Amino acid sequence: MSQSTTANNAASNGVHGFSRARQFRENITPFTVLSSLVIAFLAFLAIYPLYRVAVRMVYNNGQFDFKPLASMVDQPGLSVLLVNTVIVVLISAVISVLLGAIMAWINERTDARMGVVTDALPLVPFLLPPIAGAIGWALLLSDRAGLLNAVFRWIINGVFGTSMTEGPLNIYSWPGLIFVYVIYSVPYVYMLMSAGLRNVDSSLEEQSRVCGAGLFRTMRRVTLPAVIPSLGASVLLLVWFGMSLFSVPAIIGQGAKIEVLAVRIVRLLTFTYPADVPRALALCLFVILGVGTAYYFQSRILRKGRHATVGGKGHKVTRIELGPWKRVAQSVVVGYIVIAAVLPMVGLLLVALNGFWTPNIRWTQLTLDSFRHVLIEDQITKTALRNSLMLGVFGASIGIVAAAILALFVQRSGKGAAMFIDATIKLPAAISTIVLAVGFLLAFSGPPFNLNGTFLILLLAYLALYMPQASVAADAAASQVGRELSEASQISGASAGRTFWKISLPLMAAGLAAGWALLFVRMIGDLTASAILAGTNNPVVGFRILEVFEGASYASLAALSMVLTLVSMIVIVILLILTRRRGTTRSVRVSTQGA
Amino acid sequence: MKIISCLAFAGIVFSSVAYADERDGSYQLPLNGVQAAPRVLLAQAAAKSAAPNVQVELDALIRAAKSESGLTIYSGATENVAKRVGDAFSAKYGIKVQFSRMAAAALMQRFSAEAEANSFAADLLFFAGGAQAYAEEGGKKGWIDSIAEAGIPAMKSGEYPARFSRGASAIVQIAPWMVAYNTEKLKGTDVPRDWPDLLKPHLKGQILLPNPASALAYLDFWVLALEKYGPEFFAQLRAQNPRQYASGVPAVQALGAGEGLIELPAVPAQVEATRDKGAPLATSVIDLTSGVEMQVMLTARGKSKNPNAARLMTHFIMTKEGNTIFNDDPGGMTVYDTSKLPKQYVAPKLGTAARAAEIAKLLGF
Repeated sequence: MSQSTTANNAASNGVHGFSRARQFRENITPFTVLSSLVIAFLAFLAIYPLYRVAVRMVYNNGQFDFKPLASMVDQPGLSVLLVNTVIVVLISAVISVLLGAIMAWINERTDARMGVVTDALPLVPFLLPPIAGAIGWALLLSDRAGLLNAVFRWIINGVFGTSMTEGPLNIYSWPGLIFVYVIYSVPYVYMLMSAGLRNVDSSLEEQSRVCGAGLFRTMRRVTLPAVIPSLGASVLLLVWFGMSLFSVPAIIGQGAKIEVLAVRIVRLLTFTYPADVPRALALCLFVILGVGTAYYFQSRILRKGRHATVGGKGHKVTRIELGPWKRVAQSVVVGYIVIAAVLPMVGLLLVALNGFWTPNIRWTQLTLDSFRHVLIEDQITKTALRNSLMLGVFGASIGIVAAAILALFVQRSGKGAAMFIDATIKLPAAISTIVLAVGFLLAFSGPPFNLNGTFLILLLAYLALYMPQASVAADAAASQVGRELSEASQISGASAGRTFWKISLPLMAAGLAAGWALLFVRMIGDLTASAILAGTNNPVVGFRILEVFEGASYASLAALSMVLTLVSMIVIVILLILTRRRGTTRSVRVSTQGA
Repeated sequence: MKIISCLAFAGIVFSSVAYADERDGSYQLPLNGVQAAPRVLLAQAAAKSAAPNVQVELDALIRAAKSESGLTIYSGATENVAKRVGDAFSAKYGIKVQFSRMAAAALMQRFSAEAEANSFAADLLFFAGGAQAYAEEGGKKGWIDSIAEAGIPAMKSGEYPARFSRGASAIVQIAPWMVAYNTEKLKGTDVPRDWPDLLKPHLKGQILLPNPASALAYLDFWVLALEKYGPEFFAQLRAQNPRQYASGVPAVQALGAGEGLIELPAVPAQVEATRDKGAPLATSVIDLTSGVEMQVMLTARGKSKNPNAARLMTHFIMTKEGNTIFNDDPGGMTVYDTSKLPKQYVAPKLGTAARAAEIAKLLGF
């Protein structure tokens, strides 16, 4: 009996082993090999430069020296630093999620939509490089020389007969700092929530309302659960963005005497030589903790799968008629656009035209000199703009396809190893950009790669640095694609590659377009990595912006930033038009799994 | 050999005295400068005996430089300076010059990371703030060739004043730290002339300070004040409630807009760029002050792609002709004429970078 059982078990094991081997062979298709290679390459890009930085910390002049690590624990004022960071990131994230989600809902679900005005303009702050945005708000709301404050004082002094010389507002304060964080954070939420809402069948909401649920109950019970992946992705991005944003707290926080984590990290790395990498990396651990926590919750949301997925039938969008509230809703969106996009651009424009910052604009002496210099005379800037545009388009396209492959790989396998690789590729999100850029220089500039001063080193660095952002957007997009279509495609005989190209990718289009835009804007406007990796042979806009900034001309900086914003805007509008056109001809259905 | 040593010693004494005399001031040569000077003077004294050969060597250097692919410079100097010098050099020798402008700390980090990866993009560096120490450290690691021992014709001929050599590097510009002020809001007579003037009541809440850690060269200025007036002075300065800015550029821009009455420390080149656009800005000298001393250094011959072009450029900016072009900006002083230096100018000292945290705390950053 026992022999027979053993034999049976052996036979059974043999059959199972054979069947597993066959299944394994069947699973190895050209597409899975390609996917594995892409993922391995992304992981290599994320890890190898960090490894080089870590080694450099403890291995110098041919010997190990662990003394630098002792300084990791010596962090003066750490508690204040952490509290400041948590306050500014959390408060700005809560406000941004509320604002961004409301505006996305107004634009996607109600009759208050105003075409390209509400499609694209809320994204303008996102397109403006943060260093220019921070300066723009300082120009407007500095308590003594702020342009807006000057207008407010003129009105107040005129009406009340007072003689105010300062205020009434001051950007160099807690509310001022949080305000600018919110301005920069809202577009992330708006973009991802809009993409999520576009995938949700509005008939579900209609049915809910027909069944007697009110507007808010429908939003809470139907709409919100359906877009939870987008919401999770938004929060994750906001935590990451908020913890790593440097220019805004450096310029505004310094005036308000508020120091946050990102500023301390960058200062440890850039204000001294040699850079204080051990202390900076120790502080990065807190960023990893913050981003890791957000990542954990987002993964849980995605794994639960209790949200909208795109299935096989078409859906129509029925917009809620807001009646008298339509004007109110439109006013909210327009008000946000005026405050977040128009005002800082006007501030920068006035300074660019006036030649320098002053509350007393010389209206009769405004010139286009700054723009002429940037667009016509300055050859380096022109070359840098062209290079950045090219890198942005290529980098974003390569990056988003790679992110889509990664997202589907993780979603389909769902195993620990896949999750680990996913987390590895997202690791750069929590490490200072400068650390990674230095790592890239150490890893790839010399033999055997010899990429120093090339576009390839910039492209690879951008991919590693911004892949986490693209990956977050792609995860949300992938989680909204139901499995049935992919499975139907494969049962019908399509290869994995064909299924990816013909089914998954088009269904993820809205989310991926948002991810592409994210990547493009981040790559075209990158400052920190470019400052270390760009040079005379490969100038890019970010490097040029820093050169112009350090050359002490706000007017040139304003002109260059506005041109960059305009170029980005044109690309994003084209993208929006293309994806919306695709969205209207797409035939998909929305089902709510498990809800 | 004894004769050469005597010549060297005499050279130091003569140079120092002459430098002090012509300004009637108290230029204090940093310790390492004093230590480096004998080596430089030895080399110069030896070279002077072979002066007729210098022109021959220069001609050979020009030929070798022209056969190279161009010249890449990492520059801490403002863009207009680098461009002006590059254009003049190209016009004179027909050699293409490219430069990347970076802050001193970023420049050092980048060059070091490239050096560690054995990928040297820059042939020549010039920057201020920790330059001398960096050049010496780079020399030990084999990344930098000592200027004093590189056979630069301007040094061998004795044209370049030896007292400005720092051994591994050489000073090519002196820009004293000044006080910038808003001419619409502050009369010239109310502008501070000395450190205690900063504590006057009319400047309360009106002083704009860039973060002292944002540029290594700022520290020289504040360390000088600390050594002269002690921490009590800084406590009084903090009580003036100065406004803080991330770096010099935002502080100067804010001053032009009227956010405050004075900004310090400031270099005229930074102020002029905004004043030229019409901003109501001017600068004033504090008698006891330090300055930004721009130094040039060479990538090691075996590492640089264009070592001869780098040496020729070094020669060029060390000659009176090139050095005058380099310093053709308000505030920047050529090493050939230091007569306008402030009365109590003190050259930057080594080691101030290590006091960054102390200075930041004293200023309330």
